[in-house]
Formats: sequence, structure tokens, C-alpha cells
Amino acid sequence: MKLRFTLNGQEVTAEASPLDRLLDVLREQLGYVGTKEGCGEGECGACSVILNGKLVNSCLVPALQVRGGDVLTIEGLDGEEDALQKAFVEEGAVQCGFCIPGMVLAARALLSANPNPTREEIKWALAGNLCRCTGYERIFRAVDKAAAEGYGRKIAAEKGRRDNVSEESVKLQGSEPSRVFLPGDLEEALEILARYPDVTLLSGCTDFYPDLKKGKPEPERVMDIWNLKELKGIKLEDGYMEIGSGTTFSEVASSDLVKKHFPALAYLSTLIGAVAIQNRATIGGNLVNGSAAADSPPLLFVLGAIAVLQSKRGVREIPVTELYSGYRKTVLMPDELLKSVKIPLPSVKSRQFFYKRGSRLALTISRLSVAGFIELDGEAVGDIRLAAGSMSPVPIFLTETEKYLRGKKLTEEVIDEARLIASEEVSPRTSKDYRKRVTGRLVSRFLKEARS
Amino acid sequence: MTDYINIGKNKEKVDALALAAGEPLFADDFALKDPLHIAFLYSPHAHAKIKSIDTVEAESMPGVALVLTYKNTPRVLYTSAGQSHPEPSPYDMYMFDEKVRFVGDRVALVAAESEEIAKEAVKKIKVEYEMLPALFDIEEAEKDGAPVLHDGEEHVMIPSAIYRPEKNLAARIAFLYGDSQKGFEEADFVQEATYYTHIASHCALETHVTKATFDHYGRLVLITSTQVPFHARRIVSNILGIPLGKIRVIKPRIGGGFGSKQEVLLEPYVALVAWRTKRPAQIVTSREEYFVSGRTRHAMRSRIKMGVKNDGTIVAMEIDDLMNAGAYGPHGPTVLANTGAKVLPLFNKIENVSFYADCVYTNLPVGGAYRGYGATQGFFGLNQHIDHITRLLGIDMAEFVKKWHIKTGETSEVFKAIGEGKTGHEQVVTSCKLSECIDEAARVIGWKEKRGAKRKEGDKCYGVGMAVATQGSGIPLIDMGGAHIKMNEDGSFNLYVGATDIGTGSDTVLAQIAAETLKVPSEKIIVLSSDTDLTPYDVGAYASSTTYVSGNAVKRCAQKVAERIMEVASEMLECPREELTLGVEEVSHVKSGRSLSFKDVAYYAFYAKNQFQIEESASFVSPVSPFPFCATFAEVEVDIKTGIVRPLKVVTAMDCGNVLNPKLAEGQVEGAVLNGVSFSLCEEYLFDEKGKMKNPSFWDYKVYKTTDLPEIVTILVPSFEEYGPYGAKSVGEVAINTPGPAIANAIYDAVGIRMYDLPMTPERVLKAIKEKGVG
Repeated sequence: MKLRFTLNGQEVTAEASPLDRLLDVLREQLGYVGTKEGCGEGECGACSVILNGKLVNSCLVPALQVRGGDVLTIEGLDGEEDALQKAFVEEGAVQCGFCIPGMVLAARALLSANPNPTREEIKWALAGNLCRCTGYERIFRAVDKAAAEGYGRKIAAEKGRRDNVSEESVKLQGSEPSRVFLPGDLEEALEILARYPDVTLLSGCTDFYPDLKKGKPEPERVMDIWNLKELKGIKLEDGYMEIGSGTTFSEVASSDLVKKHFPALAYLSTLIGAVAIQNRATIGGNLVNGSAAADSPPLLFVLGAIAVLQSKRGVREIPVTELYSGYRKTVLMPDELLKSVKIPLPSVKSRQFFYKRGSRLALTISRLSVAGFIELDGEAVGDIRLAAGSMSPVPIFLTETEKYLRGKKLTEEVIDEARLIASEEVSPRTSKDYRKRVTGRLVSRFLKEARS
Repeated sequence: MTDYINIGKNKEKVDALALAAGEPLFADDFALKDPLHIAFLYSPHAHAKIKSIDTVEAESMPGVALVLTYKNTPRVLYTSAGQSHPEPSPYDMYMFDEKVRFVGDRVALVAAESEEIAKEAVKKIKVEYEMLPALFDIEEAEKDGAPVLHDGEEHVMIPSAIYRPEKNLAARIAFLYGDSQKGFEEADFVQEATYYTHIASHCALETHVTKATFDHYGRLVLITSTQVPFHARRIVSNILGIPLGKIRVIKPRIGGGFGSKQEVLLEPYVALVAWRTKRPAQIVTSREEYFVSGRTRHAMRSRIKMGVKNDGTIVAMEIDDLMNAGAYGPHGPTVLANTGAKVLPLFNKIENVSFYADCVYTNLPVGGAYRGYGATQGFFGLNQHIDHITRLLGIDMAEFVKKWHIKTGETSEVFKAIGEGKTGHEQVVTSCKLSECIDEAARVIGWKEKRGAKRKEGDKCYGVGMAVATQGSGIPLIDMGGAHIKMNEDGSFNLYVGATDIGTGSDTVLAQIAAETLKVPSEKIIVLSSDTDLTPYDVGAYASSTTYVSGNAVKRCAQKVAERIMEVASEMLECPREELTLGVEEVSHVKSGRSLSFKDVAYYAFYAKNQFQIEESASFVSPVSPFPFCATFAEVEVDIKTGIVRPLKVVTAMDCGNVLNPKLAEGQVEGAVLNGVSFSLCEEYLFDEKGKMKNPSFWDYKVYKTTDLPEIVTILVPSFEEYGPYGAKSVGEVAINTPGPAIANAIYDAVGIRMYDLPMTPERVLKAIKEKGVG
């Protein structure tokens, strides 16, 4: 296909296959080799670029989603004249330099949103960018220095310096029109889905490319739903919060509504991966891909969420708990897509929680996760739901623990007994003892917090 | 203190701005014209014989140019270890063999018009394997009846080396002095324990990349991500029979090495494809290939036994190491030697020592050079052992180490006994500020107040621990570096070095050394490094050698150039050379008050009389390998309910001699420390029962990121090393040796459990807590 987009402020044209990664379009088609590949699965950040104002991993963005977009790569910065790049040089933050272009862009994305970040905020913003040389300390100092020099405010003032892409941002060629679909709205998307039930939906693609890398065959037909407005947004209606399936975890995490009603979901969204992943991964993708290690299913299970499925034939609603039919399999009909997730608003006295544990604090595919929801009736347990993820093909409810706890007062003895029951309810295949034990510990930690 | 104009200054890294700007500097950034793309077929089996291999279908695919297997490649034994000739590593590999020895071993390659076609064609190669029993357990390797990996012509180049492939023995190092048996009898108590360090990946952000093309003479030009361009040229020439003079190796900027690129991993293959097809060729490996088919840190079991008197004297020490070579032996003998050579001298006053170490083949990924190079493996156990003994004695480990560690002016029996490849060399420690390092780091961590305090908040327990280490600076009488300097009319100088900057900043530091010697600001030095056509020879970036070995070559060369400048000035001023002094960018004659700028001198030499260019060359090889020292103190938080260990603060004090560039030196320490922390706490190869790595990606192989960081503090404690250029010693490797044992000792301080096994994952820690009943 022929692709037009803005690169570093100037309109460019590229010939690419629709599923070529933005990284390859930049490096191979356009010769912009400042963007590096370190892993090809969104875990190292060497390929970070800024797409439409958001930090993304260019190894996880299909070319077709760049049509008409605005891309900033390291070559778009001013080098010696750029206070951020200069700070990296002056602070000795550059050793081998391979990670540095991505690191600089991640820092730039941070400073444009938050001109005076704390050290902790810098760490979180750069969490998706691996460096094996420096130990990071000097990189932090470089960001501090650029911040102190007012870099964030300066680049905010520069915004708007870009060419507008002329009318036609993409032109499909050859057999592409029968294989690649770029619907303008949901109705058109449903129409295409009805006609080609085998079509693969592309949104944030954070699982899509790693799956290809692991050997999954490239799909014959694809449809881009990333830009569909009907799938985006968060709203309150009839006692529910409805989150469009195309809403990214960045949007979920920063939503005041979510923070107010579902603090555990807001927290979970910050753990989903680093910033560049949060900017692309959608709640719908996380649910529908059905990966055992996915974060959101256990929490949506205990919150009683409902999946809103839509096809040309109409809309149907099913509990999220009934969404899965097996490992990475859902009950969606071939012509259906997940339109949104509806979560009943909890009462003010309820408590919710989500924990995940891996052998590293951040950015880990959770080796185990536990989610909980509780409502106390006076001192006794009223409604309680507990679920565990990552240890079975589909998250499971800890029904025995729930049954035991219902109606009981949360004394030390009760909590301890609940811990033991919970640890026996999960049956992980690997690291058995550890994951069972920690599941129990996490349940007890939640109950103690709920009591206080 | 001398008034240096370059040494000790925070000069910016010469390439930093270009790198920060994303300029095309790395191997994969060089676009070849119409290259062939190479893809490998890797073995899915840990140990098998190839019964038949059918490449017809692959070869007939449109776009496929060449398929290589053992049938049409040179049957030349070699080692991929990029070491000086003759390499101490066994010659135990062919480009392709009829046998595969680990999951990830190379079976064939396809060169095609695109990467996609090459990968597709690889799938079309039909291989019939005859399965052989696989060997995974190092303890089984030497037993009768164990599967034998290497049963052909494999051999070693160093006649005195012990190599018994029929017993899967890739190397054996043994020596003793005194009488350890007698020592144990004299001891008041004997402490014995076994420690395990694991396989790990370097995780350089840039994977292995090699590109081959031709120059206008038809010579082969390799642009490759290597730490050893000159060794790569020699080894490629030897395997392929291409005259060495017809090969040029260019090292562009390198995206991190840490030892992984001290390996001639891809060059012979890409070179052969290009040579046969007469077309440019290239391969850019994936992260998965880097994990599975690249090199790793050798796993090791270390049994340590010490006899101790109640007054704290260690009267005897016995060490029995068993190291896992993996399927082939690159660096096996030398890493093995270093587990003793770099570790034992630290406590040089032990009179009775026996050291016995074997390195054995198994059907697992191949070990290689990795920052720390055996010292990391050895110091993990030793530091824990010392911690344990001092606890039994009821004395402070910091004070104990200060009393017993090797000091300036002292020697060790070990120096003579073990070398790298050849025998050892007698050596006296000429600079050591380890005691000062210990004091400094102890103060910053709050050692006296925190040790043994058993602070506990809820489920969280806190503790502190320490560890010390040394390394070397180059391999004595083996490592050689060359330098060439020429002067330009404006008083600037071109510096050519074979030394290989892989991100360490050596180009910058070497420019500082040249500049200091020539009395010019380092900005006047234009560095060009590591191009076998243009620069002098250098062994490459390994063994902590560059600052010391290459630095001395640069200094020697610059001294010669300075002398030439003085001679020309003497002719110009018509006064004796002895009356002249070298000033900053000038030569002056104090008596007459006259002076000449470097520019004047250069113009005269170029254009006035007896025209010639002021230029010189020099090489350097060292009789000794000065020791850097470091002490790391760590404070940790252990969650006794989840087993999660969070290092809170890691303080490292470093004696790397006189510091040439503090910012770059600190950067080296910080990087090594974090790599050490990450290695010890979360990085881990997981294998299935068939020997296949289960987690070859950054998703599943955990590496420390920004959000996991402890507070890392680096303190440079300068000494002055008389052999070093401007008093410098090495700094690149040593600090990776200490974080692991310091954290392990801190865990013991916090919860009283001893972590014998790396990595210290929550799962292992929780298990130990449970067994101990402290959780």
C-alpha cells in the first residue's frame, strides 16, 4: 500500500505492506535508522517513537495505522540544539547509545506532559526502556537537568509545527482491498465482520506482533478498529460504568471516573506494561485475547462486569465470567466484536483490590494475580468475590474461600483460615508451592485491609 | 598532585552526541546494496546425529541463493572464542557438524533475497535425526556411561592443557600449596558449603549483526558487532582459507557487549555466503537467537571448605568447582581458571590451599565470556562463606576482610600457579585501597548501626550485607594493544587504535591519555578505532584490558610523538633538545624566552626543511595485570510472606587506580552493579525436560528496569597504580562480582537464611524461609 504520514514535521510517502511494522517502514523504507530494534516485542523500548503525541513502540504498530498520522523520531530532534539530547551527553548518560534514541523520546513524552517530574515519575515513564550499560542513574540525571532547563514547557510551545497530510493518506494496492479493511465507523466494521468472519481485528497490536514472532501465521484478512470512535470512551449510565473496548489503559488509568469508582482498575491499568504499552493496549484486547496472564479478567470477574457484544444482527450482553470457553478462546461469534465492558457501580462501603506478583516489580507478565471485592455488613462479611489469574487457562473464583467468609466477622483466626483455604483452591502447574502460598498471603492481606 | 589538563576530567564521550542523535552508526544501520539475507536452521534436539539432510526443496525456492550444511562447508575445527592465538579454548566446533549438541545448535543456513524467503526456506529443509541420550547434569558428565558430546578430532592448542572430551571434560585446573589436610586438622572448626551460580544472558540491547560486502579490490569487508575485530579476521581466514590480507573487519559503534561479542559467532557464515555468491550478505539476529544460540555466563557449582581458628585465622581452604561449559567450550578453560586466579589471591595469607576445578560439557546453551569472567562465579560463594565464618566467630566481616585481604607490596602463590592460557606470572600488588573502600562504603550504608539490628516492620525484614572483589587489568604477557599517532598542520592529532570501544568510552579515555602526554586539550585528538585496514592491532575489548593495555600503548606512542616535536623544535630554535620544555600546545626555550606553537612545529615539519610528517607507532604488552578492587554494601528488604527481596540501597566503593574520567568510570561501575543485582535476583534461564530454553524473550527473562532500581551509590577511592597509564587500573568488570553476594549476605542479616543458589527469586527465598520456619 501507499502510505502518507507526517514524519518529523514533514509529509512523507512510503510503500509498505499493511502489516509491516512502523519500525521497518522507518528503518528500511525511509532510511531513518535512529530508531532501533532490541527485541521486537515491546519489552525494551529501543524502537520508541512518538505517534500522534503518544509514546509507542514502533515494533508494535502496523504501517496501516500510521496513515495520516504524525510521527516523531529521534531524527526530528535538534541534536546539539536540543536541551534534552544535550543533557544526555553532558550527564554521561550515553554509553553504547543503542537505547538512547528511545530513551530520549520516552523522556520527551514525559516532559511534554509533565514538565517537572519527580524522580519516581521519571522512573515510571522510562520503565519500558531497557538499558544494560548505565544502571540508569545518569539517565535520570539527564532528564532532571532538561526539566530544570524548562524543556517540557519549551516543547509544548513548539506544538503545531507540522505539515498536514493531504487528503488521501492511504492507498491499497493489488489484492490488498480484499484483505485489508479500514472501516470509517462501527457500522461499516460490523458489515465487514459479517461478510468476512475470518477477519482479524487490529487495535493496539501489543499481543499481535509478539504472537507473530512466536510463530503464529500472519492473518489472511485484517481490519483496523483502532480509530473507531464508537469503541472508545468511558461513561456512566444506569448504575453502570461503560468502557469502550478500544479504550487504552492509559485512558483508563487517568480517568477520574475510574479512579473514583474503580480504584483497583485504575491501579491495574498502571501495571499493564510500561507507558508505551499502556498507550496502545486496550481493555477490549486484554479481555478478548484471553491470555491466562492477562491482568484485567480476574478483576472484571469480581466486579461483576458485563461484556457487550455486537454484530450486524444486534447487541447481546453476557457476564465477563462467561466470556471464555478455554485457553485463549472466547464465546464470541465470528461476526461479533466486543463493543464495551459495563461494570456495575459499587456501593461506597465496598472495597476492591488487585495484586499481581512476578519476580520483578514492573512490567511482568504476572506469574500470579489475585483480585477481590468485598462489602461488609456491619462487622460481618456481606458480599465477597475473590478471583485468581495466571494459574489456570481462565481466571477462577475462589468459591470455597468466599463461602467460608460469608457472614463471618474478620477476626485474625478467620483471616488465617481463609488464607489456607485460598491457597488450596488454586492449582498452578509450575512453581506450585510458591504460587499457592502467595495466593493465600494476598487474600489475607486484602482481608486485613478491608477490615481496617 | 600533578596539574593535569585532561586526566581526571569529565570529558564528554566523543561519540555521545552522534549516538544521542540516532545517527547511523551501528552495524545494522549500514545499508548494503542488494544483500542476501541469512537465516539459520537450529536444532530442536539437545543431542542428535543428523541421519540425513535434504535441502533440495529449499534450494529450489525462488529467491534462494545458497543453502549451507555440513556437506558443503569447510571441515575445519575451531573455537568461536575471540582470544589471542593460540586460543586456550578447545577447538571443538565446525561451522556445521553431522551432530547437534544443544537446542539451538546450527544445522544449516539459507541465504536468500529477503529475510522472509530465507526463513521460509529454512522450514523446507528436511532433517532426519537419530536421537542420542542427552546430558544436562554437570555432576553426571564425567561418570562412566555418560553420553559423550565430543568424540571426534576435537583438541586443544596448548599442549599442557588438560582436555578429555571422552569424559566430557573441557578443562581442568588444579593446584595446591601448603598442606590443606594438615591445616584442617589444626583448625578449631571447619565450615563447608556448596554454592551455585546460574546461566545468564548478557542482554546487550543490540543483538549480533554481521554484514559482508566487497571493496574495490574485491576484498571481503565485514562490518560486524564485535569486541574482537582482529581475532575475527584471523579466525575467519583460518576457517575459510581466505588469505588474511583479503579480509577487512570494521567495528562500527557497538550496542553493548559485556563479553557476548568476544565471540566469532556469525562472521565465518556471512563471509562464506558472500565469498561463494560474490554478493553482499547479512544477518541480523533476533532476541530469541541471542538468548538461545548466543553465549551465556557459565553456570557453576562451587564447594568451599575452610578450616578456621578461633582467633579468626583461616588455616586451610579447599575449593572444588564444577563449571558447565554447555555444548562447546569457548572460554571454558580461562573462565574456569579465573574462578581461582582472580578469587583466591584476595585472601593471600591462607597458608594451605587446594583448588580443584573442572569444566564439563553438557547439552545446554554454550557458555562464553561474560563480564566478571569466572570471578563473579567464584566471589559469590567466597563472600558468603566469609560472612558465615565471621558470624560464627562473632566478629565484623568488614574488619575481618580489612585484616586479611591482600595489601600493597604483597603477593600470592596463586599468581604463579594460574594464568589465562599459559602459566601464571609472579606479581606483587602495587596498589590496593580495598580497606579504604570498605570503610567508605560501610559508612555510607550505615553498617555499624544496621548490621544485626534485625529491623522488622510487619511482613518486611531489613538487613545489610557486604562483599569484596578484585579482577585484573588485561592478561599479562598475552594482551597487546597498538597505537599510531600523526600530527596535522593545526596541531591536532589523529589517534589510531585497535582498541575496541563497545560503549565503554575507551575512545574518549584513550584520547585523554594521548592528549595529556602531548599536552593538548583532548578535543585536539581525533580518534579512529578498530578497523583492521586502518588501525594497528589490538586484542580487543575484554579482560578489563583497554584502559590499561591499550592506554599504555597510546601513552608510549604519544611520548614518542612528543619527542619528535621536541626534535623539530630544537632544529627550528637552533638550541639543544635538553633545553626545551613541552608546554600546553607549545615548546618553549626558557633560557631565551622563545617558544613555538605546535602549529609552527607542524608547518615546519611538513613544508620547510627535511620534510616529513610527525608520526609514531607503539605497542604495549604488560608483564603484570594490576588489580582493581571494590567493596559493595547492600541493604535489602525481605518480604517474609511473598519472598520478594527488594534491594534498597547498593553502595560500591571502587579502587580503579587514578581515575582518568570520573563520569565514565562511575558509569562503568553503575552498569556493572545493576547487571549484578539483576543477575542475582531475577534473571534466569528456564529449561524444559528436553533442554530447550522456555523463556527466550524479555517478556519472560526478567531484566531489571527503572522501576525496580535500588538507590545505587558509587564512590571512587583513587589509588595510583605505577604500571598504569597515569596511574589507572581497570574498572569495567570488577563491580559485577559483588552485588550478588552482598545481597545474599544482607538477606541472611535480615532473616537468617543462607541463599546458596542463584537467582534469589521470591520463590526460592520463600522456600528457604519456610524451611527455616521464620515466615
